[in-house]
Amino acid sequence: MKISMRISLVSIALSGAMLAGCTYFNNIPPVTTLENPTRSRTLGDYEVAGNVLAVQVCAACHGVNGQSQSPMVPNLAGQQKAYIVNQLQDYRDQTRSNKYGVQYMWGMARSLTDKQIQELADYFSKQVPIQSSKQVEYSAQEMAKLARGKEIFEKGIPGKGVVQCNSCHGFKGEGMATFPRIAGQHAYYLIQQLNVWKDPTQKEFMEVGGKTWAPRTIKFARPHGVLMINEETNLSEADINAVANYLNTMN
Amino acid sequence: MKTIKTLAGALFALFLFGVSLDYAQALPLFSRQTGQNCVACHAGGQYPELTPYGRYFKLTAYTLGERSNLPVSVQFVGGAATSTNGNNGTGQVHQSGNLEPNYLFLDVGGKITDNFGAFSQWYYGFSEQVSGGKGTVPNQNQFAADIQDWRYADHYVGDGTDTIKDFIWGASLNNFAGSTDVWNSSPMWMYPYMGSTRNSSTYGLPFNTRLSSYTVHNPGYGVYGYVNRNFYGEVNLYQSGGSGPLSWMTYPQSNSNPNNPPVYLQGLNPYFRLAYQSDEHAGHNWMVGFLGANINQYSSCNTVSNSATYRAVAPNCSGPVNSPALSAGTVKYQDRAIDSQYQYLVDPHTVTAQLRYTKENISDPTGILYSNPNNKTNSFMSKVSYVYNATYGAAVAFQNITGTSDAYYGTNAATGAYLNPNSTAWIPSIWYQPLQNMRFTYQYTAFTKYNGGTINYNGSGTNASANNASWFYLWLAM
Repeated sequence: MKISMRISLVSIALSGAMLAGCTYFNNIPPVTTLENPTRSRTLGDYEVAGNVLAVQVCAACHGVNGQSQSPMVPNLAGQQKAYIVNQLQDYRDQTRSNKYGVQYMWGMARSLTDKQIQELADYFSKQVPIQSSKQVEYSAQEMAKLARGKEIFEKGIPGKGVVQCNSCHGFKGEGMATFPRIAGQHAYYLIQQLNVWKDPTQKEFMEVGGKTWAPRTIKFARPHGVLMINEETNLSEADINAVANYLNTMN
Repeated sequence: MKTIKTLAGALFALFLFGVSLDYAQALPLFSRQTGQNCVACHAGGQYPELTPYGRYFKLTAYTLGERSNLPVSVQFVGGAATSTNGNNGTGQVHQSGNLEPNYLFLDVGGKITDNFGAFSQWYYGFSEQVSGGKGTVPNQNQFAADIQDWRYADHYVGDGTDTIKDFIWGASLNNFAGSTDVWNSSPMWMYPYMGSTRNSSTYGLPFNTRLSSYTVHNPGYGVYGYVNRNFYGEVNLYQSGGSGPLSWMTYPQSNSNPNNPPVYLQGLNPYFRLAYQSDEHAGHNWMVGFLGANINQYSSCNTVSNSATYRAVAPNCSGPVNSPALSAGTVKYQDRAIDSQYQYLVDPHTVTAQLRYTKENISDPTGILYSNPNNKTNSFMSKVSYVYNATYGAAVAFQNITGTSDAYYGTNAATGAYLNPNSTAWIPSIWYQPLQNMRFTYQYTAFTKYNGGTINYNGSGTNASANNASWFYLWLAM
């Protein structure tokens, strides 16, 4: 009895202190906190330059040269500047809501200023994509898959209404303005993105972002990717796999 | 009845905390600071295991993100621990088998400045093992300092043509050897990630090397460097907190608390850690490391305990309590370990594995703690786990220790011979995380050898399996 009394009292005091504290601290105007302006990992401070955030924060996953190590994380080297700007804004506005975007990117982008977004897009779009130098021996099956991917990239699947990728993403998959560079992208990432519209409403038991009190049904969406709805819904799993793997091999 | 009230009190406290947090989002501190999900830093969501990004976050001193308005979060651990083969093992004397609260953690810190941040954990242990038999365990029903890691770090990024493309360096003020580590094969951060206050078997081996989980509990200062995200080196020096300005780091251990004396170390005691971390390739990454510590410990009236927390020895001397016997010499521990970790992290699959092998020499020429002037122990700790969709997980650990017979490890009741520490444990567990910050785990500990034997190891008819334990528990963080 004594213990529960003590706990209750402590928690009431703690809760009260927190509510008071939040009210107090939330009303303090933002102050600059640039103790180390050239090497800051501070988010939510307009004074930190985009190229500082790029190497101190983004590079932790996307690589300092925009070349990421994890297949879940997209390469950003040579990505179209306008595309990066759009996507960062969509993450900030919480309108791009594919699973990993919500889990990883909503928080990173939530307080970026327009200026920082421009600077970040500038930084990564200027990184030179690394040319794959290794010679890979493909099996006949893999060759067939890559050939199928190349066919979809260049010719589409007219019977299914799938437009060829290179009509918007460029002849070399290098992208164009708001159409992203897809050449050399991780196949795993491309497959995830090509499936966003396939099953846009997915129940995620694991809470992704926001409040934690209940599992939510999140609607996967990419507002700047609506042009892809037709392609994505008409591509079979095998074709998605083929085209993603082909794109990964492009330089 | 008392336990029900305690539990009700704890849940009420959590509820109040949740209500007070609601509009600030009921997520743990670091999650609020970065706005990211637990899976960003914790492999498959199985906190406390770290992803490559989680390691970066810790090595850069928890400074990534937005400084929180409310740099506080809490964790609650509670469940039911039971003996599974009769309640007669030496590791099981205290459990009741009822649903009980175990720990309430208070975490403060996070980002403080551009270069300075903290992981500062405090806890309240509910009815932690009480004295009697083997365990006089500190901190029961008492608030106490848990892991402290106050850090300064900076991160230099060169351009692609430099030899050193990336360099993270920093310094830490901490209170457990190994608390600064970012790999889960290290002494402080290895599976099982939680144990019950009511049953020491849930933690695994009854004895371990001096350098293992929660064992070197003294204020320490260290520096570290990480080159190109591949080569890591760290040195820390641990010393007695005593009644000095750093004694808060081992609170409530104090010279005036006979139930909770500090461990007196002689001078500065080095701990070092070297590691090579591979780059990630197609979702795989691995690490190999080497670490060790030299610990020289004074005798004092009730601090001749090895691991401080779970295996302390009851006061049994008549001299002045809690004062180090400076002229009686020291027990010298020299620990050297190799460790390794492997991770595969591509959603929805998470596979991780860790191992650590430690060789230890113990020198006790004046017989402070041991009956032999020299003892050796070797321990092998390992674990492999799989998590699906950061929601469903399973793990199994294998732990083994061997060592020389010594009065320290007990005496055979029938023959009077000294026992040895030789023990082998298997610890399988399964868990379910309905929310990223809520985990239900069922964990089983099976001993195939305990304190030197399998059948009747202590001469009192106790079998190793009598120490087996089940634990079902909830771990909630917000």
